[in-house]
Amino acid sequence: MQTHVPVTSDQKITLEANDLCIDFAKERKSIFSPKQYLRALNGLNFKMYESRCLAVVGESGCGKSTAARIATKIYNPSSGQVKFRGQDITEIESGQALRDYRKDVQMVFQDPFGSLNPLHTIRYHLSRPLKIYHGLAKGSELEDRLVGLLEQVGLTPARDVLSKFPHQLSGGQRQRVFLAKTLAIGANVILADEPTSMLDVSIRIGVLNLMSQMKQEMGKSFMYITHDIATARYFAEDTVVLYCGHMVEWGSTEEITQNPQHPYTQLLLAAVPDPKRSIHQKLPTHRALETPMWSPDKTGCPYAARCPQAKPACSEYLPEAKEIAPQHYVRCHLFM
Amino acid sequence: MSDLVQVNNLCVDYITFGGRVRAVDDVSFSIKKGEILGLAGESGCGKSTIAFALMRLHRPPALISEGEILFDGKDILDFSDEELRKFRWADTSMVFQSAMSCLNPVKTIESQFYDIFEAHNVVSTKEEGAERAKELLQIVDIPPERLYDYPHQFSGGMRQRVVIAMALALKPKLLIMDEPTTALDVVVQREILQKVYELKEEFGFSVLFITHDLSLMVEFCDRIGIMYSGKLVEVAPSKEILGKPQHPYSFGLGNSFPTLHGELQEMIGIPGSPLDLNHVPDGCRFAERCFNASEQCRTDEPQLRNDEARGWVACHHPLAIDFRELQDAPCSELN
Repeated sequence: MQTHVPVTSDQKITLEANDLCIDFAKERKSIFSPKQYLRALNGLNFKMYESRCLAVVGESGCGKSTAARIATKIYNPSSGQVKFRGQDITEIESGQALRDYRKDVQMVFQDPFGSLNPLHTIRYHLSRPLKIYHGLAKGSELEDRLVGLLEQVGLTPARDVLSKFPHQLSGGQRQRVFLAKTLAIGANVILADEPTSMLDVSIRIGVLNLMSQMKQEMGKSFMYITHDIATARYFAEDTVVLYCGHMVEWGSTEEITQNPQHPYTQLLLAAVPDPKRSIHQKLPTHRALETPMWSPDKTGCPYAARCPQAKPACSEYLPEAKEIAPQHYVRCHLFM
Repeated sequence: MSDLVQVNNLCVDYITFGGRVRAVDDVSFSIKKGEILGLAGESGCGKSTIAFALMRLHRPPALISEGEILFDGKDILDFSDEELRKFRWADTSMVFQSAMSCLNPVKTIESQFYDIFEAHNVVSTKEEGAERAKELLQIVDIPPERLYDYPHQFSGGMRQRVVIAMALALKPKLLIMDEPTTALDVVVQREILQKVYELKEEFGFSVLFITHDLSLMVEFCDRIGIMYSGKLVEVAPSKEILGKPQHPYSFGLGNSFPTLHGELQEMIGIPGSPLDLNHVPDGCRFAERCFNASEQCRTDEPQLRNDEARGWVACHHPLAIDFRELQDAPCSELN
């Protein structure tokens, strides 16, 4: 088990984001009051590679799901680019080009109880993508593919599972069906938005192991969105820590979990339950301050108000990224 | 320390069209004064059902079919409606998983506090109620001027702290926390649990803490009970449950969380799916998923018994005491 692997030169970049920002219009008191914006993501950069996983870690509301939604073209970014195999996806409008893109990039959702249609069998869920994207409508070829897909995700006996409805399966099994669906489509990039947080504890590892297998054996490229940094360490090679839409620290997962430098990452890691510690250990933060809402006109480091080591410069501007170790970047005044 | 709560042979059934489903089967445990007892297990194992039974919140089709629950020596299953009304909140209070759904969205925090005080006749005027509510909010680090706000004006973590303040309003002897922090972020979760621990030290109440996150539980609880499909399978001091698990299920549960430090190992979790309570097997309920199961496990049901050397465990083949140290190999080899 080793996730601390540097990128090799023959690994291809699949999805790449450059300076991604997205603003949402806030609700106004009346139609005459000036428009106000909330900046959900500010300057997000990442690269995803074949056979690798990028974990996006942060608290709720930090913009981690928004990033995945931009990548699947559910939202359009306000500025910046997302490139897929070198092509800017913001230029894709609709029609065949969009369908081709979605054939390659798929999302896995948090709630496996909501993401499968309760009125249809598993056979229906898996044969639709085969029909739409691969023209496989019926016959023994379809049947073999369906059985093969379910066996790949560890749902056996496959023939029995095919005729079941989603409510007859447990959460873990449903999430496996959903992963089989991404395989049926043939997606190479899978954006998994908290795929295990609604599952039973004993089942979670099984689903993570299945995703690891898809990553290593089939060369799938994963984005793993989570607030559980310990599972990120188990599954992902690279990690981005987001706070309030800003990247505060990123690089190889092992570096970030074992040698966190940004005060926010240190706080996140200190809060993870660890049987070897006691509950009394003080958290390195100022008390219970809310995560701020960011707007396009704000400047400085978003974490400055909570940061115990904040300096006056912190509220003035956010410093550029600095590589403090190989594959380990941080944006913080402490390292300037 | 004496026992505050003593649960003996508790059984809770759900009446369904397919017959009775026993969600909690013959469970006995006790909570000492000032102790934090944890109940861990997968969803559907009956841990919340026990919490509801302790406050007698069950409504049909659920019903407490057997057993007794002694609270300070009195069996709460014999309480009349009026006794029960007084018992709830004043002696035992409960914090639920979703704070938003236990606060009334159309009433201010102040009037919700006043409801509690009024129902138990502890204050005579609204001003006195507000005064006491402000003190309580200060205990959980919420500015007292926010008393007149509505629930939607608070963030998720603050709402949960308001609920905790309400639960402590009448200084109960037992606080039941049913997955209080599952919906919250790790940082907020830690702040809240640290606060509850401080308050417990100050006021000396007991806590029944329910979650599925075993590592969190080990940090927070004094003793832990592990449940599997309606049965209590192991009870042990919290530090021992991960280090020296006796029951294979406790071992598997402890092994389902990747570690943040130390060497990464390939993990297996627990194979299979949780048991369907409509089809309970004759033998041990865990036998199907257990790596250590024998013929005996499939025919005889093990009972929870106290062993001098081992503590409370319900298993025919408890794991060796220093199993973990002996088995340095990854657990994949065990399967």
